[in-house]
Amino acid sequence: MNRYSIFFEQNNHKVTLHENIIDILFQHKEEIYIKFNDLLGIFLIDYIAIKIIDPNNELVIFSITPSVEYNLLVQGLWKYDHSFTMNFQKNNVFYVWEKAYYETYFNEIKSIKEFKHGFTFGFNISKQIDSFHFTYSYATRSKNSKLYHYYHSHVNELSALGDYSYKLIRSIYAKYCNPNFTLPSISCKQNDPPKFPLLKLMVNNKR
Amino acid sequence: MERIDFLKQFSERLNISLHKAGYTSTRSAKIGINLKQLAKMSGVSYQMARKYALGMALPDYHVIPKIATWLNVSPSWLLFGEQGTTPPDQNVTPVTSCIEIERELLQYILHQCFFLFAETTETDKIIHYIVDVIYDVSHLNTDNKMILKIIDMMLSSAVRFNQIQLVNIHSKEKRA
Repeated sequence: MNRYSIFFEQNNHKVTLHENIIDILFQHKEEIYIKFNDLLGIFLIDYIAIKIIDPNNELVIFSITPSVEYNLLVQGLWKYDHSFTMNFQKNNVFYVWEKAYYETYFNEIKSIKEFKHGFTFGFNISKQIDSFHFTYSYATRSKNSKLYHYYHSHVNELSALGDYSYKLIRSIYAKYCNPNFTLPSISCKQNDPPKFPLLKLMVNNKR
Repeated sequence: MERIDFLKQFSERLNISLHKAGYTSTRSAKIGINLKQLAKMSGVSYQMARKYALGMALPDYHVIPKIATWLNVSPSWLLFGEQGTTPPDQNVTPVTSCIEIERELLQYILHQCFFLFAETTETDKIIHYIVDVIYDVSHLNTDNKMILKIIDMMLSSAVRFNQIQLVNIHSKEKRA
């Protein structure tokens, strides 16, 4: 049984790569770098990427370090990382990267995604918005042992950070998304106007 | 670590930094720091600043860098206290990753990005970006032909994003 037949057997919802996925990774490198770079360091995060799967199950990736994804894609190893499939796409599910690696290719994927970049660990948060599946992917080089617990207990904040990241690159994604689909809009907490209780003015108790 | 400990430790680091930076106040004996200034610099209400100082709330992720920049400490230290209990020197860049690249590829990148410097005043920004490009290239596991194509794509993205007019550059070169 070869790699591909294993993949097709284990995935009911087959994810396909956008035909220009490699070009998309690199063609917007500076714009993504500038936008995501401001977000690095806040949670000791050294890497941010967003994977978007559209309603046709077509995958596009925007990454601050596209060499991570490139090496997986060209070697076909992405098919052995559940974070590229629909299997782990549940709302606000937090999981460390290595939980998604197939055992057969665990070492290869771990090496490409983590060791070679000096990441101590990476994690994903997945969510569904309309019919789109988003995976916010983060990694750190910090050796701080408190981090795992911190990340795990701040899933909502990290999810909001992912939403904000998506908002930053939404205009780029719009160029590549199938025009038949309406791109999801995500409202970000920090950009929303403050909400005050609505007061109705009553004059002499007459409406 | 419990969240309550985390908040307490964060507030201790915040208070240390505020004291160190001279933002003290005699108005509040319990806290002893200038909450009004903290609120102003954080862009939050006085009540929220007080909660930060007392370890009752944690700033949002977009507020942390504001406070850190203002107090000249790293956001990571403020949030996690990494590297000890005192703020690390902001001028020392931690070693996070090494870059190993073939000489020819490095020469190619430098040659291809040379014009970016002529068209921008933000030299530091361009240097950071080029270093990041070199980092990515050094981690690509592919043949040189593909690597050259990727370098061109990444540098073209800088041209597009910075709206650099290649026509002007070429005409300048011709004139020279």
